[in-house]
Amino acid sequence: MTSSTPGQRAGRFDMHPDGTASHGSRVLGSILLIAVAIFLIVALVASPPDGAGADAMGDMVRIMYVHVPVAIACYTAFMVTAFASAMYLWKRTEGWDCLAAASVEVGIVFTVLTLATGSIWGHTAWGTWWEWDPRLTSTALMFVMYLGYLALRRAVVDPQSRAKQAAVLGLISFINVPIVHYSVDWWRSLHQTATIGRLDPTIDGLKLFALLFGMVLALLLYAWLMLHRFRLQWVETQVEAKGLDTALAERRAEAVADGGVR
Amino acid sequence: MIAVLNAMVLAASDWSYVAGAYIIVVGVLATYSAAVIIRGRKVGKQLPAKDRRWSSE
Amino acid sequence: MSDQPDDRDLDDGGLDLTPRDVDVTAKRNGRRRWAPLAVLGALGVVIVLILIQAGDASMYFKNADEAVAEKETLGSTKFRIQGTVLGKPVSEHDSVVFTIQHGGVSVVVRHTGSEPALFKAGVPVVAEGRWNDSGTEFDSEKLLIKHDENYKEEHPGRVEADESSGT
Repeated sequence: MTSSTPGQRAGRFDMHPDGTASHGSRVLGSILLIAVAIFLIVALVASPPDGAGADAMGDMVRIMYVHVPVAIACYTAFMVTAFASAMYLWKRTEGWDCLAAASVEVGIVFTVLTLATGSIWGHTAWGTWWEWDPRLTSTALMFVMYLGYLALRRAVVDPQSRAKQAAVLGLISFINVPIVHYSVDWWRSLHQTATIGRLDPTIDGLKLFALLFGMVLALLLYAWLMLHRFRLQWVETQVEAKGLDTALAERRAEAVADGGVR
Repeated sequence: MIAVLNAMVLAASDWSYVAGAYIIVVGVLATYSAAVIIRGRKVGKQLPAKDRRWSSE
Repeated sequence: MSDQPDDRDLDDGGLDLTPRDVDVTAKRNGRRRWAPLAVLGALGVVIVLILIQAGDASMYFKNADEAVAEKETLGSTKFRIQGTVLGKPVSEHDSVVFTIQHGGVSVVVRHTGSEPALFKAGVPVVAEGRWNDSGTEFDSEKLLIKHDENYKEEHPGRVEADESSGT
């Protein structure tokens, strides 16, 4: 990429000079655009509808190809948050704090998608948009807890105490994530148990491919979103620190001036 | 005949749910991506390029 | 950042990436933003409400055989019952009557209200309601399909497998 100074008009495909894009994110993003198009064809056109059986889902089964992948992406996001939170508490460097915060926001987006697609599935497959069954209840709890994480970050002004408190909350909130996942095994649930655990004859061929493709795609999408979201978080942290430094310098200068008068 | 029609109506409503789900997923992800990138550009202006290690400058 | 030159002395507001001294920020520690705190409080209330629901969720349904065994203690309390629909459901006035089975025990269910699209013979269902006064039928007011992809109509033997794994 040629460097473009603010005055110079950037070409259409040049990276924005102030943006969070890099060469790597550009390459990954381009691959993802093509992969999403292929995925949509496989998931919506090429793969067959769910066939025989008393409770065959027909075309509704296609919802699974996005529902399961976005759910896996949200687990991954919160796992990354927990890891980064632990690393922050150990290393106390702002990079880990940025990673944790960025991953929560991306994770919440995937959680919303999990709930939305699951709700549509529930409406047609079970006959209800929402039921307080173990899987749905624990997922709702997970969603609200991570919303709380973001609210906490906005509530605490001091960057260091914010990072510390957020890291503790990031770890506490993660306790619920395995509960969400195993709720269908531990308790009686309307929700079906994990399909990936027993792939063999229950789901086959192109249907299986669409599901696995969706999972890989969701994880790559998460990674790409994180590249941008992490950098945004990093820039925000730096700008905030800079503002703080400026304010402190001004205050010091005032103090010196006041002292000089007296 | 009526059974076939019924099946078609059922399949059509199935498709509207499927389409709804995919539109929500693609739409939300695209909107969120755009929002993050735009926020990045706005906030990025306040920071010199050398402090953004990924920047190609 | 270690490979970057130290730019702290530049006059363009270069960044100091070393952790700030605690005493410098001490004054700010007590400060909070109140609007997000209110949101945080509201979220706390929501969490409590969800946890109350979670108490129910841990025993989401009783299987048909358990519901029969606990008929005395259940009385007229509301609960959910689970079983596989046996035979064709019969419409009677504004309700539908059908038999569900689990663990070899059958229960007659009388459901009033809307039915899920996939409701038919051979499908595992969860019905919400209570035993009727004489304890002969289960009065259902909410009927849900317990979708289990394991189940296939062409393998009736699987019903038995479902029943053992359903717990």
